[in-house]
Amino acid sequence: MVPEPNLPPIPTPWDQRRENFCRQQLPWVVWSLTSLVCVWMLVGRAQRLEYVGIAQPARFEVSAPVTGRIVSIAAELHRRVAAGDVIARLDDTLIVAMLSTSEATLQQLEAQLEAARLELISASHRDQTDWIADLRRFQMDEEQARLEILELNVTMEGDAIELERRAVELRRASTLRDSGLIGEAAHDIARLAHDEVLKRIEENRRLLDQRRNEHATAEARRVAFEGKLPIAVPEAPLLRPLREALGVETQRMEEIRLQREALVLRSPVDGDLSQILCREGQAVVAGQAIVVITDSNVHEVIVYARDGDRRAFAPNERVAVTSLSRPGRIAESFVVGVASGFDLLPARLWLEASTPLYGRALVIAPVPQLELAPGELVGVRFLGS
Amino acid sequence: MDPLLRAMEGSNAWFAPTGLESMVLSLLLAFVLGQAMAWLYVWSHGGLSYSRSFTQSLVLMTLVTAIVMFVIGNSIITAFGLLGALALIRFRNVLKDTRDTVFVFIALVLGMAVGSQRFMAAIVGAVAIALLVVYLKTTAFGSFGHFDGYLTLSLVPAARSHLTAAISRYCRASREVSSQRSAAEEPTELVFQVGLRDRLRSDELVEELRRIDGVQHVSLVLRGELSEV
Repeated sequence: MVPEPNLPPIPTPWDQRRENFCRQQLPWVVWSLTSLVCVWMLVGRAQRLEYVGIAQPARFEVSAPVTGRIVSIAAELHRRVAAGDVIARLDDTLIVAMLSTSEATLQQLEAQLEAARLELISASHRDQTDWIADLRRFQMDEEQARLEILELNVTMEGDAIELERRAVELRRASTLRDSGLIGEAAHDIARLAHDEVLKRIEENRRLLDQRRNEHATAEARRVAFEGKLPIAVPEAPLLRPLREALGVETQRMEEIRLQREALVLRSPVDGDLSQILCREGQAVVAGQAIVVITDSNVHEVIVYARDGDRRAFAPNERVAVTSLSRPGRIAESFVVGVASGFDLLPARLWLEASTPLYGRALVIAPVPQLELAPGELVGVRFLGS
Repeated sequence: MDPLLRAMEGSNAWFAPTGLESMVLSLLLAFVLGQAMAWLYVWSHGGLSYSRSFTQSLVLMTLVTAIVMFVIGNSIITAFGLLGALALIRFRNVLKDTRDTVFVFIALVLGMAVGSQRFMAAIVGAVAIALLVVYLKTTAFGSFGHFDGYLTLSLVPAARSHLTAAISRYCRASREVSSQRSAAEEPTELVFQVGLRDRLRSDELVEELRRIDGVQHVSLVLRGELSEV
């Protein structure tokens, strides 16, 4: 039998068509679509120039100005401090000793002044003219007033040191009372001792003002009297060294005051006490950092471009900044500065803990609207790149 | 071009690419490259021991390895743990099929991902693997050729044209695999690989071929669904 020619091909059922499609065309379709998606994602990735950085606050290291031992650290870790707040105190034993030396010197000068006064009195009986004797007396009064002022300064310096010690004791008593370790009575004793010193300082300050007025009066009286004298009278030999000694002691008191002030470390800015590098009782050398104060506001954002990135960066380039912990919020900023060389990245940005990375730092202007926390990781994308 | 090259090097970002976007890109790229390699394997395979399950394992393994890297990250401890677990299973239980080994590996990796708190990697990886397995099953990926079976017959040369017409009517594709003639006046024995337009009408093809003068000993052997080839 010969089959009929030109018969049409039999139709393929729909389910077999589908099966044939799944087996033959579908793998190519899926593979092609997936390839296109991959290319699209890679191109999109290539067009996004993204870097990671850290929101940097301003950090201030409070260092010891002199070598000494830390007596107390007044602030607590991660507590807010204001500019001028006492952070730490160094040992003031040396200052106390210097004050004692000054007191002894002043006593010596007091004795010399008394001897000079007696000498002048006896000289007035040896046919010395009255007006020379009066001049000598006025000069003696002036030096006496200077000596009394110096003595008061020494006393007040000593009281200032004691006041700081009482303040430390009062602070400790307050902490112990709040913890329930001591009673209110013990706290009151510390407070009363502190207030007593404070009152004494106030009284001495009033006395000092009074002595200064007396010195000014004595000086004015001497100057006025010297102006009426017919001839210039040479300075009394006994008073010259006394005056010089008083000058030296005055300068020494100023030195002691400056050294005492240097023993109290104060916060230079408002911020958070982020690090305490030393402990109470620890000896420190001059220049050694004791605490670190971090400004609560982000000062700048520093991102790092990889060392293989040959793109040229320039100031004022626009960027989009986002917090990596809150990626939904984005704000615009600009490049403030570009480092000229490559530096070691902060370890926090290393991909692996054992492999350091290097890059070029780019400084981005802060973005207050993002409310970044100091130290927060930030993503930066260059706009228009 | 340079930014694209950098992106392909994976060097565009400083931070470790553990985000969802990076993972999706990695899995898609692994699928693309894995399937390309599998096609290459199919095309270049010349031996007799071809296995469809091995071909599918090539694609699966690419994806699973990408997930492994997300799970391990930079942790050498996790890497050694995975190595040890895999070696333990391999030597304790001989797995004859490559695909079985791959699925054991998948179970290991997903367990490690969950255990190391990398939940996103575990969930996204599991979904991707599931979709891939469905895709491989649906497409019967790795099947060698798209023929439904073998048609064997003997015919005299004069019946050749009629044979071709009948085959074209019932088959969407055919390929002569072998022809054998023992003597000049004897009929030629031919073997065709055929892809049927309608597998349910295979009997009609056989009947029509048998009605052709000069065609004898017609036999059609269809491939089963469990065939490995």
